[in-house]
Amino acid sequence: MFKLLLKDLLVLKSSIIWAMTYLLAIIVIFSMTPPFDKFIYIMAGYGATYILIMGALMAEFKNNSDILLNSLPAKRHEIILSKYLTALILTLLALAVAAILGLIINLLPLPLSIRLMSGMDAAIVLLMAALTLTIVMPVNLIFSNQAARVGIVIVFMLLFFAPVWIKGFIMDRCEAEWAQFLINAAVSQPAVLLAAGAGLLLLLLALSLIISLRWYEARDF
Amino acid sequence: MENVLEIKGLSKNLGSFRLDKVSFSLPRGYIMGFIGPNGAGKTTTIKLLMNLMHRDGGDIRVFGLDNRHYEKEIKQHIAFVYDESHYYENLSLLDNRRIVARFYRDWDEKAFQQHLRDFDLPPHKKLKNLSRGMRTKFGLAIALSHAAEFLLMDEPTSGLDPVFRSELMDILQQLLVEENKSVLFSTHITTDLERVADYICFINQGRIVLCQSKDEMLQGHVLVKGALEQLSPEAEKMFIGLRKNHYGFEGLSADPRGIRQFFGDGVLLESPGLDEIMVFYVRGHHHV
Repeated sequence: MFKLLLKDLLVLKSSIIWAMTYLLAIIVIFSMTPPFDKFIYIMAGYGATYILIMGALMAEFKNNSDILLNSLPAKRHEIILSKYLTALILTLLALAVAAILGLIINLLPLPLSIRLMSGMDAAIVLLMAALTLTIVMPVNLIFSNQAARVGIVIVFMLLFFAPVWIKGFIMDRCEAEWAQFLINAAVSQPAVLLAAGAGLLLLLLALSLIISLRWYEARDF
Repeated sequence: MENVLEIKGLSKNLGSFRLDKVSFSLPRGYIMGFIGPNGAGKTTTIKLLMNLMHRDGGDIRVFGLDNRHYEKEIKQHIAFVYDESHYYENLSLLDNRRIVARFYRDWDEKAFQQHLRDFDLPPHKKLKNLSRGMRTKFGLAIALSHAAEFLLMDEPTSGLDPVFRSELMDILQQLLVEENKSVLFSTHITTDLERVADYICFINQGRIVLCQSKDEMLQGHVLVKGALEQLSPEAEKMFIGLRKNHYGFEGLSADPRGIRQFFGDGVLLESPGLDEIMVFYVRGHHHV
C-alpha cells in the first residue's frame, strides 16, 4: 500500500507544485478581499485538494496505468484503497501547507493580516474533500475520467448552492417539528450537527469505497 | 520436465469473441512463441494469465501455483513487456523505475543501470520523449531487473523495425543461455521466432491449433508446389491449405510422408516457415 502511495506522490510531482502555488495565491489575494478573507483556508485548502485529486486520476487515465498496476505484485483492493488514502493524504498535505503559510504570513512583517487556520476550517475542507471523493472516485472507475470531471462540477455546485438551498428549505418550514429541532441544534449545538453531517458523509464515503472495490475487483482490463 | 506455466481448458467469453478451452504448457528454461493472427486470442490469454481479466473456466498454474490465489507471489517472479508502454509518460525513466522497483523484493539496481547503458537509454529523459523502440527497451530493462524467472511478452515487436527486432531476439537468446529463464513470446510476426523459439503454440479464433516444439512443427509440415492438373479431389484432402493460380498450386500438408508417396517426384517439396504454416492454417482452402 505504501508503495502505491509513493507512486501517486511521484506521479503528482508537478501537480503538487501547481497546487501549492495556487494555495499561496488564494491566501494572498483573498486575505485582502473581505468577506472572502473568512474563507481563505477553505478556498485554498479545497482548491489545492481538487487540483491534486483530479491530477492523480488524470495521470492514471492518460497512461492507462491500470494495466501496469495490475501487472505488478499488488492486489486490486490495495490499488483502490490506496487511491482513497492518497486523496486523504493530499487533503492533509494541502491543509498543512495552508496552515504553515498562514502562520508564516502572520510572523513575517508583511502588509498582510490574516487569521490562523482553525479546526473548523480543517474540518470543512476534509468534509468537502470526502464528498468529492465519494462521488468522483466511483464515477471515474465505472464511467470515465470525463464523467468524473463532470461529477466534480456537480460537487462544486452542491457545495456552493446546497447550503443556501437547505437553509431556505428549513426556514420556509420553521413551524415544523423537525425544522425546529434542526434550528435549535444549529444554534445551541453546532458541533453536534456538524458531527452528524460528518457521520453521514463518512457513511456515504464507505459506501463509495465498497462500490469502487466491487467494481474494480470484477473488472476486465 | 518442470513446467513454469500450465494452462488447462481456459475459457473466456467476450461476446463477439470466445477463448475456447485453451490448454498448453511451457517447460522451464525454454522460449515459447505464441503465434496467431490479430484477434486470435493471444492477448486475452496473456491477460487471463496476468489476472487482468477474469476467466470463465479452466485452470492456470504458474510455477505450479494457481495464478489467482498466489497472484502477488507469482508476480514477484514474472516480468512483462506489453505491446504498448503503460508507464508514466510525464515521468523520467528513473522516476518510472522508482515507482516499479519498490514492488519487487529482488530488484537489482545494478542490473537495471547496466541495461540502461546496454540499451542506450537516457535515464533522465521523460518517457513521452522516447521512440516506440526505446520505450520497449525500457520495458525490457525493467523486466530484466528483478530476477524474474518467467518473461511474458505480448507483441513487443509490433510496429518496430527489423533491426530492433533482431536485437531483441539476440537479447532473449542470451538471456536464456545465461540465466535459464522461460519466455512466452506472443507475436503475429513469426519470423521473429524462427531463430529463438523452442516451442510454438499456434492459436486461431480462440482455439489452439498446434502446440509443439518448433522443430516438430516445421518438420511435420511440407510445402508442396505443383501443376494444377496434379491436383485431384483426393489429393486436395491431404492439404491443410491450398493456394491456386493459373500457373499451378501451392499447398501445406501435415503429412510429408503421404505427400511423397502420393505425388512422388512430380511436385516440388519445401520446408515451410512458421509464417506459411500460420497463413495456410488460417486461410485453409480459401486462398484466392
